[in-house]
Amino acid sequence: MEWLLLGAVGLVLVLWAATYNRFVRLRSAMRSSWSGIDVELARRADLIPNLVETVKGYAEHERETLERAVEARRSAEQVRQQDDETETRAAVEGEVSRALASVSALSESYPQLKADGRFADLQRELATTEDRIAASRRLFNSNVKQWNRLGQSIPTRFARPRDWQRASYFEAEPSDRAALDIDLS
Amino acid sequence: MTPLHSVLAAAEGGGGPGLLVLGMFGLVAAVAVFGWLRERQRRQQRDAYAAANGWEQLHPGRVTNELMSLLPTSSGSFRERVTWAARVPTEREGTLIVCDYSYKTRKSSGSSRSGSRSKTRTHRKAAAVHRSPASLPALELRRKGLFGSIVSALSSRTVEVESAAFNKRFLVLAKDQRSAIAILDARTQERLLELDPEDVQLKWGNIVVVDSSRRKGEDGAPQHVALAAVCEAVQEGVPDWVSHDVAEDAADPDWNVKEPDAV
Repeated sequence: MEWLLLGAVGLVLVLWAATYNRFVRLRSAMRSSWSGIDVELARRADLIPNLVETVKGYAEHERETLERAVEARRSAEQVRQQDDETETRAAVEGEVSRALASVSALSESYPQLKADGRFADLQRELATTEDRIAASRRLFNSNVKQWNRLGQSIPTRFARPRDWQRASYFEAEPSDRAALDIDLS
Repeated sequence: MTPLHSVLAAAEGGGGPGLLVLGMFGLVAAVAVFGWLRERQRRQQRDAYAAANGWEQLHPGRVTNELMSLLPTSSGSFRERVTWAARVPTEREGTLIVCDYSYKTRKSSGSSRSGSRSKTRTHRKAAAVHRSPASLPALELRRKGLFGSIVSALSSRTVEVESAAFNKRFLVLAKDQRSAIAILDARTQERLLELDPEDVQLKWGNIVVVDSSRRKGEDGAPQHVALAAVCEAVQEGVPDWVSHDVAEDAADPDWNVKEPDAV
């Protein structure tokens, strides 16, 4: 009888340790996937000055659109340095997406801009970066989903770390999704 | 005395037990003949389909070494061989080969006075192999069983996607999780759920799709067509930037000693 009891306690301890380790792994995965998003967002922000410079040569009258892109980049940079909340970041980066979409849309009104090789290269780079951001975002959200689910479900919630907190998803706003459709034709 | 002699002797002896033994012998023979006929029909159907669709049949002996280095087998397997192979015309870059292969495994079944006994089991599988010039990240996708659920809970290489149905059906293991999730977009997930392969592996620029060679009325050519479709669906799902990143990593001499991202 004692052996049975000892065995049961041992089994519970092993399961507890395995679940706790899973929390630790997930926290590490969440941080790593978040830094993946961060890198790609920074890469996208770095494309803005070049894009604005290229467009300026053809569409000088679109000053407002270009300034909006520069301003969105500046805000995103500030938030990146000050605030690490995913919801705030998502909102600011949404603004960058919309500004970039407006700049890209200028090529429809300026055929010479559309024919510019440098602009086409930047557009291609931008599309790839958006794809990378989307993949990083999906990975981060997948990790968040597992983290939240494990921390709230029974019996795994009993093994969660003391500082466990519900994590927020990095959601793309509906308008961002439209902005991702960049025309490369 | 051979088993056949024993059966005949039992039958000559007359009576119930003799007839019973003879009946059992007949049943075993009938099952064996039925299996042989079914296998022949499967082969004929497969060869006819291959000929009608311009598949170039390959000599199994000549491709065994090349393909068996890519095809998954169990640990301790032996007598691994490709039993049938054909090159399938494809519009995509690279070569697409469908094949049947088999291997044997030995399982210990206790010991007797004369020494340890073991049972030999033959595994028969059907596969499609796409050899792509593009670089691909290492990724493995398996149909989930009880073992898969345990691995899923314990491994740090497990990737979960948005679809609960997909996560329930498949176990996805990858070192580069972002590339894996990029490949498994909604369309590829849908196709994989529909085609339901047993095992999909991406390694060294090859896409290998494997299934048991006896699957719900899909024997022969239809099964090979389905496996080739999985290969193409997966290849279609690989974004250019993923191949580019993998190629860059491979070109980096320090790629295998790279520190993980700071946590």
